[in-house]
Amino acid sequence: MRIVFRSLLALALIGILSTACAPAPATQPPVAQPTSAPQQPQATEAPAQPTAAPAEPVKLVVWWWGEQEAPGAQKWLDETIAAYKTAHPNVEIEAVLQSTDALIPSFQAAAAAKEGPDIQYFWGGVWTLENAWSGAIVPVDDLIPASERDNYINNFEREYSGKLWGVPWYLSGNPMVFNPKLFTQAGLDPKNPPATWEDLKAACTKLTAAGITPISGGLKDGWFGGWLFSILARQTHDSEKEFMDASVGNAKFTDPAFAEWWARIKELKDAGCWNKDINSVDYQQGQDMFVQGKSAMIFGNDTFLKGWSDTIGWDNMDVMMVPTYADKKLAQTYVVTAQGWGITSWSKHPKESADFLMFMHTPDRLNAWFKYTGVLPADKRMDTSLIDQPILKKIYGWDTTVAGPNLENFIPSMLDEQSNFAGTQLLFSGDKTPEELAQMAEDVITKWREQNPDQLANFQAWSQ
Amino acid sequence: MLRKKIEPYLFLAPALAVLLIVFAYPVFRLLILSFQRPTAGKLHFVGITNYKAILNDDVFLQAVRNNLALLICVPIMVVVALLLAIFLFERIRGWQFYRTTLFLPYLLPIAVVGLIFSYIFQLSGVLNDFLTAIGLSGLALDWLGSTRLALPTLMFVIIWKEVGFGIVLFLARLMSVEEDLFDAAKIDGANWWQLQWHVTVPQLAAVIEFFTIVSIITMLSWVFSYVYVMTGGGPGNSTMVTELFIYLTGFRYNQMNIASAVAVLLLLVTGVFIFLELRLRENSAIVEAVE
Amino acid sequence: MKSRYGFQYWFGMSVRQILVIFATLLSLFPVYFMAVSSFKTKSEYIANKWGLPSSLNWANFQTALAGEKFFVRFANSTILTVGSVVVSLIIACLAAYAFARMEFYGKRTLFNVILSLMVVPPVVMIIPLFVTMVRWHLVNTYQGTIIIYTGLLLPFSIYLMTNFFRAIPREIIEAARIDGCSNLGIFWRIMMPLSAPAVVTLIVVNALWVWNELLIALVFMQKDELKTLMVGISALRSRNYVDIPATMAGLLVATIPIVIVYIFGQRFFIRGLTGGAVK
Repeated sequence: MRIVFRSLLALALIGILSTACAPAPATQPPVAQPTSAPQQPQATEAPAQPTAAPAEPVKLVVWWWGEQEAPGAQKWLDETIAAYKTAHPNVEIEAVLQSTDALIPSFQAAAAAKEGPDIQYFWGGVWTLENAWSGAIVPVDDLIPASERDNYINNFEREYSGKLWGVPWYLSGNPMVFNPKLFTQAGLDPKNPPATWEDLKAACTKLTAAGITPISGGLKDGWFGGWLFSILARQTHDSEKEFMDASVGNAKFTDPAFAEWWARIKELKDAGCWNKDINSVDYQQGQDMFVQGKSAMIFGNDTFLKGWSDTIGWDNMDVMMVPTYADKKLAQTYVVTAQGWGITSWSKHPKESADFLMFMHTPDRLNAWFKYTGVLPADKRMDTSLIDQPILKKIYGWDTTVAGPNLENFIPSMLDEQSNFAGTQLLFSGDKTPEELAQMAEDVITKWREQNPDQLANFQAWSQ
Repeated sequence: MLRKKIEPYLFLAPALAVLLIVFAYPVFRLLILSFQRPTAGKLHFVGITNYKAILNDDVFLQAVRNNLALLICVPIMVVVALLLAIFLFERIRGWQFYRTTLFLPYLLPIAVVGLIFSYIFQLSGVLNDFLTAIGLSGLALDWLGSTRLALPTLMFVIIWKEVGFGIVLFLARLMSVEEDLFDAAKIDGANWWQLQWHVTVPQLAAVIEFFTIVSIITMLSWVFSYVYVMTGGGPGNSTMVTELFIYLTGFRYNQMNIASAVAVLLLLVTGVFIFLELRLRENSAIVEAVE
Repeated sequence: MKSRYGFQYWFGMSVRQILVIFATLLSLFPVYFMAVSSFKTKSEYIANKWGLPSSLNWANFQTALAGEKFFVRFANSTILTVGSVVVSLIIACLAAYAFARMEFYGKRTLFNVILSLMVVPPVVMIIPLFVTMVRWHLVNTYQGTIIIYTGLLLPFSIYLMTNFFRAIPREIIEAARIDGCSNLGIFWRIMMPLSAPAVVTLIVVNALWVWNELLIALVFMQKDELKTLMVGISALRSRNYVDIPATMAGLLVATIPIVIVYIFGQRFFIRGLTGGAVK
């Protein structure tokens, strides 16, 4: 090892050594080699350097995410690219799977340099539109015919100033998942799961008496606080626009309709519905408790259903709508969002990009998507006879009949992080009361408005 | 003697070249961005508005307080690393084995460390199972889930991991201390503590100073991964640190300008700190003796 | 020596042993966890987090290592690590020699400025660095990423080496100078060999950092054939889902080379130790 080390050093220092005990000429720095200030680019190795030559060979770069929540996505995308290439031999597509931590930083870096992907993956709502406002993506209205767009599900999340700023890909919804066996064990009827808040609290009491944790969750990594907000805060509202209105200052988050969900979670907490360690475990560990059969219910995500069934079996789970405590329009909806795509403003091939996105929505590709992932594509043209699992049938029914917005996508991220994430943790740690948390939300949004006149203006325009 | 004047700069040239390439533009851009704000997608100069905004931001102030609290780790790390390094240097039985194992925490990726300690410290985790088993259920607390305990728990993990570096560093320096110095002190009848205090510590002074400064800098601006993996800044911002604040502000809230202002402040504060430290060092006898 | 300390000696040694054994157990536990988890299936892991796996299940290694891509990623990590560690070591040592043993105008100021660069969190550098690298056409190249890593390692490395160089007695240097050695000669023939333990420490610490680094590798090495080992492993994580057994399997494999480098590096310490013990 010593020899290896020595020879390495010696190699690198060879230039220096030659002048070791002799005066070094001042004009010629003896150690210029190792630095070798940025060398000339070798050919063009930059990521998205589509050939400037007119027509002919086209290279599309796709930065994506999704394998992480819909396993099988990678296989599907590889196959889709191969199929597209067969049909369009002049188009080369490079797909780069982004990690969760780098998805947003990488794209922002690319946007600052105006070089990177032609097609980028985005979550819905504000996650997409922020990039529309900053000029990083273009609308697809001129690239994709209306007849095609009409088949997509959940377009409204990507609409701004009368234009559509992306293409939905697949659906991610939030059912309440329960374990029928444990329900029976506690004397509850799995055919009639709780429908109202009072039912839910009563179920909690029965389950606890039977020694079963009623609902499990994990708040440590924050995201679940945002989900709870999306799932519960909507019940006292008719439309996501009300939250956008409150964000821009036309209503207050301390108003009863906005503050009530905090008190409702507290009720569940006081009724002993939750696992005691909710604050010290992350969302996945909360899920795991359900999958192990240790808890009776979770606020789940339908993209994971197939994965859970591998462990616990379809027989040991079922889905239900979230019990309601209010009767406004959104209370009766199923929270769902479409994850999707955008075309970047610096892409030299927006037309080809749009064509590839439309190819993803051809019937064969839609059916294959469902087959590989067990997740529903955001398109009405999928062959529904493929859905043979009763639970997934239910989900598809909700997706197409009672779908409602995912509120997390319609509020500033700062409110989500500093009020929903932090607030639910503070509620469960007992540091703050529902009233204090409502006030905290209002304080955060006030701060946001002061700090971000530009984002505020965008939200104002968006909420019109 | 033109050569003598120029030669030092030749030694420095490659380092300066790389530092310029990597840092010059980013730092310059941070500075500019920190005085700007976007309006309708275009950036405009707004003076110190961003700085005013962050100094009024509760979450930022909380982050600063937490970073300062983390500094408590530094003296603990120095003492623990010093003790363990001395033990190893004394060649206690099995020291060759320990030398590898004690450095293991430093070798492991923070992702692993964070995940494992999350499981150990959660309410229904190993630690509390153990405490309950030995009849100390009163001590079985919510180490990560309560706003009071999350930060101290985080500090424990940081110390646990970073101490390995101190051990190896001190050991490396101890190797080159003249054995005669120890022998002379022993002949003079010095007991163990006196030996360490009068020989080991002065000999290691420069390295101890180095480790202290690097650790302080770690606490101020290299704890992101720990927080990100273990607590995500929660519960309720009780473990928020400036780096995580910068990350969230820049990438999650899409406020690169405010994030830049925080980064510039961080740079300034640490710059002042290093300046003070060096002033102090100029007056320190130890360093003069070495130089 | 033993006779002189007697009971006290043995008592002292026992206390030391207990303390060190405790610290060792604390250090070994995560490695144990990593090792046992990597052989469990997902459901086995959920049901039994701490115990031994019921059987050796190698599927996780297949998932984590992504089959044939593993060797490519391993090579990428190695190239980046060796490249940036070697380059930064040489550059830093040269600069440290100037700071420790030469007099020149602006020395203190320059040193302070370099030192304070240590606090610039990489998080804030990503976007401007990306812009720089795009301009130089260095995104998705080894050279570009090595330059970034070198730059980030330099302040720390210069500081460490300056510190160690300063501890080398002036007399030795003066003696060499009288023998007619230039500064470069002194640097190469005296400073570097005498600082071997420090050099090894620096190599290990820097190699470790580059090997485990994620954010820069993610953003600057986007192409599949350029991805590093850590990036490959971390791709398994999502915002609310982690395949822990597979992640642990990957991390285990990724950590082994570093442990080997460290164990080999220790030979330098042993040389120093026995050298002293012989006296």
